[in-house]
Amino acid sequence: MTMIGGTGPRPAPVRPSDDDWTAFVEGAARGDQNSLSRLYDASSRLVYGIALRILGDPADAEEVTLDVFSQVWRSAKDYSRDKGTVSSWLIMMARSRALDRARSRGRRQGRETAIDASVDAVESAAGPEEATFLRLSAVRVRGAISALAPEQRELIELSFFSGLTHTELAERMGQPLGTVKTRIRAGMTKLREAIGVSKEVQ
Amino acid sequence: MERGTLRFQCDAYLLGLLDGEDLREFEAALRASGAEGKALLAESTDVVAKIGLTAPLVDPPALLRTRLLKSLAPEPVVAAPPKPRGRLLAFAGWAVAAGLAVVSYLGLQNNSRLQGDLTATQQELAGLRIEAGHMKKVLSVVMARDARIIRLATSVPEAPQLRAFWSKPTGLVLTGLNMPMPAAGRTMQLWIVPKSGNPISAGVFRPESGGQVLLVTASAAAPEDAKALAISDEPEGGSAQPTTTPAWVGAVGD
Repeated sequence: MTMIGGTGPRPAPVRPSDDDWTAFVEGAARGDQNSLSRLYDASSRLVYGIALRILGDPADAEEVTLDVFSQVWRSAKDYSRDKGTVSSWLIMMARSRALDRARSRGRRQGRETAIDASVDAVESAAGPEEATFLRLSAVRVRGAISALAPEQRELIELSFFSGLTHTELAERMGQPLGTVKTRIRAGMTKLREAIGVSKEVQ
Repeated sequence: MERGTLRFQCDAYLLGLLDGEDLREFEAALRASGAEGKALLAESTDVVAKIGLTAPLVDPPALLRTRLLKSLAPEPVVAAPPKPRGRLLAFAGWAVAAGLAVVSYLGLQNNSRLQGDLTATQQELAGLRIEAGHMKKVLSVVMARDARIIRLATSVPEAPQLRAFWSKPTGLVLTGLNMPMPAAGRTMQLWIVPKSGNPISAGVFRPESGGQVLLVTASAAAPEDAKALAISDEPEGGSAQPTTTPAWVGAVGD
């Protein structure tokens, strides 16, 4: 096994799929730091980007990113594919930690401002390691989201990146509670269909 | 609750949209739905998580990778105070180092066979370093001058009282023995209940075998701003806010 140190060379670029990410997590579960390093190289832009969008502060986003990958290292052995993909695990963990951090610092107002402002945030150039997976996944999902009605898209994105409840969203948007629920449900149904997850079965 | 509604409620639950009666109704429906509900929740996780891909993909600072890897391999234990645990860790480190030296010497005679041994020993050493770093963090909290001891009582039959040590500069440690194991797909979540505002997650955990709990977390909140610690049973991965009545609660004194 190659031990990866803090100042050692970065591993060769890889082109991971979610299956590769699963293998990295399995490696981390065996105590292999090289696997964690490769997962970090493949997915840190995603984790950091989510944290930055929620928190609007690079220093806070760094701490959340560190926290997420430290948690992956500690709990990789508990990961199970039947509860979601590795990318879903990382995304939900990044979201949860970032929202926790925002709440703990009483930044709800600031965070919402950051969310609004970050829509135009400059995205880093893609590295070769994500050309075939992360980038394509992002393009596909962004296409699906942009195809939603504007009022649906706004509510769904605000919900994900702010952690507001139905009631809080209704107050913030000045819309009736029932309207908010209906729009989010309709948007989520369209999103499922667009990204290929099974259609809602009544 | 019909399947389509339950599916959407899974989405809403994962997004943190539900509160009050909606939340209680969903939890009851999820429990009643059994394996089907768990499958829907897993599917919803993959759908809801996709929304995160709309965030810009941004490179973190290069030094962050170095910080992460350094944090996984903490500094070796040096000048350990005369405490049994410290001596044991120091001895373990020296023993593994000695083992490495022996393996390296023999490797000259039979390199191919011993390469595997060396790898295993390196992994063992890495594990010991992580364990030593973990215990150093625990000691730094427990022995901190400002550490507060919080006893978390429970009404769960035959369940133990838990203890937490909370030091503003060093962090929060939760300890206990014989803690009951949460059900499959569930986890325990520690909450800081502030004097004003909503509870703040301080981490999720599952007891080790034998019910041992040793959770170490760097708390973002300060003890003087909190009125209580609480532990609730939550879906695996944790919740944004408590979704069940906390089973353990302890007041944070002054």
